[in-house]
Amino acid sequence: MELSDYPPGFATHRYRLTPEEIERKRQRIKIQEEREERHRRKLIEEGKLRPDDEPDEQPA
Amino acid sequence: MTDSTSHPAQHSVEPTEPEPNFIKWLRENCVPIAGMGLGALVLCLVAHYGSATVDWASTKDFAQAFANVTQSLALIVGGVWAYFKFAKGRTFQDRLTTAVSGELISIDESVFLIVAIRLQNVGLSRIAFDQEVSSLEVFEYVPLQAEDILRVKNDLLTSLKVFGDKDRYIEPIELIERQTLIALPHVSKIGYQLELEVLSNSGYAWRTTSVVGKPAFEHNETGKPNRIGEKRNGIE
Repeated sequence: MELSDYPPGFATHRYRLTPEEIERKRQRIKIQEEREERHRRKLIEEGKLRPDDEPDEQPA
Repeated sequence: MTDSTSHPAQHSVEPTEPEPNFIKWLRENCVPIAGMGLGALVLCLVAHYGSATVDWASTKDFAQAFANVTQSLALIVGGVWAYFKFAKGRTFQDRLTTAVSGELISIDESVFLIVAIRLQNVGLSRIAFDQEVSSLEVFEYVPLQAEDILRVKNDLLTSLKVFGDKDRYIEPIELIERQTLIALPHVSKIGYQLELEVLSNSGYAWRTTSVVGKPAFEHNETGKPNRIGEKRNGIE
């Protein structure tokens, strides 16, 4: 699992997103969060997770 | 395999300040300028110690005017220098390097994708993250029978938040590394694409992508040790 190395003084290209693109990203993240919340509740019901457990300190 | 568009912050590997044309001109002409200054000084000395009578009232007015002109010139030169230093030189602009990588592993017939990300602030300003929108997107490549050279299409599987509540900002020269484990319902026949997009509160975005191929998974299935916990760049 190799990660890119950049020489000193170099940076990744930066740009700006449009408000529509930002909103689309927000919606996608929300769908995944709802999916994970359903999974968390299921684990609690099955007794595999304590009810007071917070979702993991996210993520990558 | 990681793909990321990079631009040099400066033109050489060793970072140097951009040199304005005015500074170059000054350097090339410093000798005649110094000569003129010396000549002016000699004239002043001659005038001071000479036998000619001096009208001190008009001299004072002249000195005052000279001082005003000098101050104005100093302000202009300072403004030009500041413009080149901070605006053209982009000294305090947000600069970030981003990297993402993934690895497929199989545990008890379940398939997982380990994703590693790294962010480094290579600028001189603190960058505050937009935690709600910065995302890691996982795409699955769609198999195809290619009869020509084609780019393989991919399908978005999910979009995950990159930052936790505590990852609010990154200071200059700081490094953030995170790893996460994603469960997959099945293994793609080809592989996956990871796309990391980081947004700052100032409205800028940085993006990098990486392909996680099936061979990486097969490598693990052969029983060779996977690289979880292996030292990478000195970091466990």
